[in-house]
Amino acid sequence: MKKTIHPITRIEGHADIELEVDGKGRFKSLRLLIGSFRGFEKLLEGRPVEEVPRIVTRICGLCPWSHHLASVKAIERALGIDVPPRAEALRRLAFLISHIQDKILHFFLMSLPDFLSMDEGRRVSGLGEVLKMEPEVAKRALEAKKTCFDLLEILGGKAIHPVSIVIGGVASPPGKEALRTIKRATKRLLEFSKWALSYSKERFFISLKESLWEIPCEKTGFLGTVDEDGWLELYHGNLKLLGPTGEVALFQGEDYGDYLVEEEVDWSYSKLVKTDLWGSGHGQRGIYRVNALSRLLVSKGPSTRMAQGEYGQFLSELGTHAWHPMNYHWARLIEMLYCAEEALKILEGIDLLEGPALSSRTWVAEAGDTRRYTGIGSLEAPRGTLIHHYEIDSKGILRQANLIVGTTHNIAPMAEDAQRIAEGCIERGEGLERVREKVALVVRAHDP
Amino acid sequence: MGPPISEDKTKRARTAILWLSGCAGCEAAILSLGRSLIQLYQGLLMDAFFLVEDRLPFSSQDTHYDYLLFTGAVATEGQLALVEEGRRRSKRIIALGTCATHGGIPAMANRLGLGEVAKEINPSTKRSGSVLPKFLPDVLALDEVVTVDLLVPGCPPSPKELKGLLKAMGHMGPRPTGGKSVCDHCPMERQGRFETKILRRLLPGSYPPSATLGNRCLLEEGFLCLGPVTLAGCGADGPPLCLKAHVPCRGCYGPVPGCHNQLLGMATILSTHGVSLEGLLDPGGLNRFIGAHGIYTR
Repeated sequence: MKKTIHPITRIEGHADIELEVDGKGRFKSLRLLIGSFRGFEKLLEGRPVEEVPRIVTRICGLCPWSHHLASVKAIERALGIDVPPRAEALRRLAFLISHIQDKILHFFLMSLPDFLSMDEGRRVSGLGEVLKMEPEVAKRALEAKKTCFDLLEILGGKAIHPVSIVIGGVASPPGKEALRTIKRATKRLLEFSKWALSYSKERFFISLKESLWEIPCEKTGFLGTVDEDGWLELYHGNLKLLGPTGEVALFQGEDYGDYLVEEEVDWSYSKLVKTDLWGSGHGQRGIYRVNALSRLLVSKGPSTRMAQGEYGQFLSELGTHAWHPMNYHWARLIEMLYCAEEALKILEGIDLLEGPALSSRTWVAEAGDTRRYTGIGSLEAPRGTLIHHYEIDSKGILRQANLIVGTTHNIAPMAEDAQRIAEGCIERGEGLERVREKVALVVRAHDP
Repeated sequence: MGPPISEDKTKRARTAILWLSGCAGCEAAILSLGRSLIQLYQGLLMDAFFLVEDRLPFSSQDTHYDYLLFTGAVATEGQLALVEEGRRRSKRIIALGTCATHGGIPAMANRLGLGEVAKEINPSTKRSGSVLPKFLPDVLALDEVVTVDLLVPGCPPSPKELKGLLKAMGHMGPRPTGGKSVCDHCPMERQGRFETKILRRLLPGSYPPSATLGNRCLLEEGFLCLGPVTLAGCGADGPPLCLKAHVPCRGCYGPVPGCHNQLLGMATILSTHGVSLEGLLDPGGLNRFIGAHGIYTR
């Protein structure tokens, strides 16, 4: 007997669960159904390249900055356009702040009800209840989120679906006064990030850790991005894939095709992404995870002082359980602190008023040129490694696109975890609602 | 939006915000309202709100809403059924965001048909007997499916607009709508003549046009800008957001009243000024936000 359980809420995306039990009510199978589809790869074909960064933002309203920037990077790579250091610093600054706002949204608005539920021993359904139970916490989080929104509007023209990152640079760099505002606000975000960890660490991440690990998940590989010295990096770096038994592969985003394999399945409109590096010997079938926890685990950790200290505590508290997906939340808040520290480092260490904000290079379509130009832009979106791969013709028209979106890497491991969780629930005689709640817990930890 | 739902100001309006085919940017915008969001929550009886509430709509037979907001376009049979159910179970339906009002970016798929798009991207996926949602022949705007009481375009709508809307719902009563174009709100200087008869691209070498960037109308400088044919509102009472950031408008609020096709509107303006239409490298792309309502023929 098949039963579809609708849908998993408080996530970015659409997912349902299809559960099959036999005549005696025993578990047979479970599938996570990923049913949303808009077909961006096809929608981009035929568009002039300069329009593409303003279309791909609509892939995700929570992380439009990731797509905006990955797209511009891919096009600049293809057309051979350099970006002045000032523009790069401004892009990186905006990207870090976009990460902060996404982490606030994910932890405080989407996931906190799960932790309050565990803490209180009763079901807390969402923001409405959080506003009543923890009004001060909710107020701080919503204010910090609004601060990010305001800064991103200054830096991107629009906070949601930014427009100011153009091919070759930044169209409207902030002036002196705006930079002063940004700096003041970023200091507040740093304070908020410190507070966020102190609020949630003892109360949830440490005190609940054993019960979190009881949720049966598989130990998989991890993928993230590291800088040249091996530290956590979000914007420009090399991809690092860490196998479940310690295999390491370090490669450039451009070479993703040599390491990652996309796979069509009939239960998801998004393709799965796996690796064929590890053969079939590990029983892991090439499955790895992405997003905050992965990024920390594949790297030496965050390079900034306070986040580094926090990561040290994370590792010593969690020990050999650090890999467990329910630790994503803690990792995410450490990453938020890193972003705030790193953003402040840019604001204090780089003169963001000095030098051009747009490339001085000229790009023109050349008559008679029939070549295709390939560009791949990769970065770490809040939800994981994001890859935009474009083929552009000599007239500057996009002819072919392949997108690997952060979330899609995590579909395979989430689907496996969901199976195991459901099997346990059914064996213990728990009902469908319990299956939905428990699967949702793990899915939300991945922040799909 | 019609007469107030109820004169009783102490009664909170039961509200749900449901997500169809879109990016959740409208929801993200609502969740970026800061402290105002707390007041809004206090003013409304918020039920299903996919991104932040683990509640399903129509959870019981007698669930009815005073206000039902839909974001996203209608792309699947399941979404169609949800919207129809919503119409039966709510007093007011609000289409929130350009996907819901005009199809938005998801309706770009209507140039090929979403089914075709899926076949090209996932060529080997079996579709017969699939458990996945079935696509409609066309991606639709909400008012192509049911009667809609209020259309609120924007990609996403401005925070001020969202606050006004949700407040108006909390305290009942209609809210005024404007009919001005992006140009009417734009502070750039217009001289009534184009600097070039050939459109320029937003690529290094041709952009920015001159040191005067930020003062002169981008369209008159030769950059395709959909300001004249696009509804104002993105910057609330201030300048339009894209123009403020020195990049041209792409029409995300949908067409200004009196214009149903942004491409035709722009083609008329360009032709009137003797600008060559050959510079329109992707004419259909000018209607990228309004691909519902049969705007694309295939």
